[in-house]
Amino acid sequence: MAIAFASPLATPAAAGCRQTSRSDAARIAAMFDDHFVPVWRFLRRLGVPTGDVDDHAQEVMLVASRKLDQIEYGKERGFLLGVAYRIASDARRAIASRRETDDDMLEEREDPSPDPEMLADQLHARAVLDQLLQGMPLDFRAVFVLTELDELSMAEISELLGLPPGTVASRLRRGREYFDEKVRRLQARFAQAGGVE
Amino acid sequence: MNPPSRKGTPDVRRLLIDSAKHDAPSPRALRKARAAVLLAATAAATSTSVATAASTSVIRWAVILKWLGIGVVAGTATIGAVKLVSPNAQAPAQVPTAPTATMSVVASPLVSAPISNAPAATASQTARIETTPRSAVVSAPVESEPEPAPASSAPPAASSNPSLAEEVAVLDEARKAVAAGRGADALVALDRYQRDYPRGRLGHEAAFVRMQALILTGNRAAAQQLAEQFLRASPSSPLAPRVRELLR
Repeated sequence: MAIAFASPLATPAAAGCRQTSRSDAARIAAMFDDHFVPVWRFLRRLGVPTGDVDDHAQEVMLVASRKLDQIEYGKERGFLLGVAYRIASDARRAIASRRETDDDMLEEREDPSPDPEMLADQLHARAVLDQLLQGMPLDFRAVFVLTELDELSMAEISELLGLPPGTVASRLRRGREYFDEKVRRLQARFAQAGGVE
Repeated sequence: MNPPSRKGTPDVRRLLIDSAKHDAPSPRALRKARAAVLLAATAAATSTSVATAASTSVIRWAVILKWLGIGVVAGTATIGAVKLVSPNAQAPAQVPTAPTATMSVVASPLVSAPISNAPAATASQTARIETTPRSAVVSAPVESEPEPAPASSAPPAASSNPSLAEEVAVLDEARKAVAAGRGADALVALDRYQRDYPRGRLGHEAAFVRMQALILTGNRAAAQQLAEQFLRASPSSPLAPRVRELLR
């Protein structure tokens, strides 16, 4: 998915910061290609509004670009997801503040009443997923998403979020309980509506 | 990844979880973000070198030279490398032949490398300035040019030509905005540059930064149009390869 990019560093113009900067630019490009979509997806699942996800994902990459020298080789993904988590956290706080509401109230306004067949449509399934995740506290949600969607190990999540492994395990358990309860309710609704269980 | 304890819900659960694994930004958003991130990264690198260079008055002069990329055309169309004495040099090694009617300047990235060494300049050190083909340069009235090589006078820093320093400042503002991914802010600065300096001496550089800013704001068509105009007008500008790459 590469697009052409004119790097001033590829010209003699930046000869003063040449070698390092050129390799930095290459590293940033590789980091973007490898991790932008997972970062975008993570932000989305953490509840960043659709209209803001592109900007916030870009912000994550810009932060990483500025702090490139602090990112160990091979640990880019963890760094990016950690930044994304903080940005998502700030974004959710801003939204909550703006709407003078909380996640529970947001959830109450929603009406996840999908037809089971509609879940076959991925777009619709994602919308339902987001509704189910909406009320999950961010701490649980981040661990749940990283485990279930990104398939990270608990050790990786522990390092990424700077949490003790026991805390990660506890949050994952509670996140799964929350989510599975929501799924059960959803299925009950299907059954009630004469849908498939 | 569905443990037995969630038996009874796995199909719906799996459908929901799997649906998210295929979620992705639109190709357009992806392209735009990639361009923005890479532009910002590289612009930041060059801005940093400019900021560092601006820490002393002598170096400020070097910054101005970097922006200008002065190409000296002496009398005939003879093209070749010439050496200009560093502004703080005690004695010139070589002084270019004075231009006659006009002095040609172009925003040339070719001069940035040697000029970035200015902090370490000594009295005997010279700054190598590469000439540009006559067709690639933009002519400006000679009286508005900074004196490039006053061998024994004080450094002709920005203060000797405040308007030039201001031009540099406005363009630096635009470049910093691009580096921060703020394309709209960059365009505001560039509009100010265009309004305040309609015959500015950094026109090529301003045009290039504008292309970057337009891409950042998602207006690739306008960037493309500007690039084509640029390349038609100055096909052999030192910036031309970068302009071509930018929109490739």
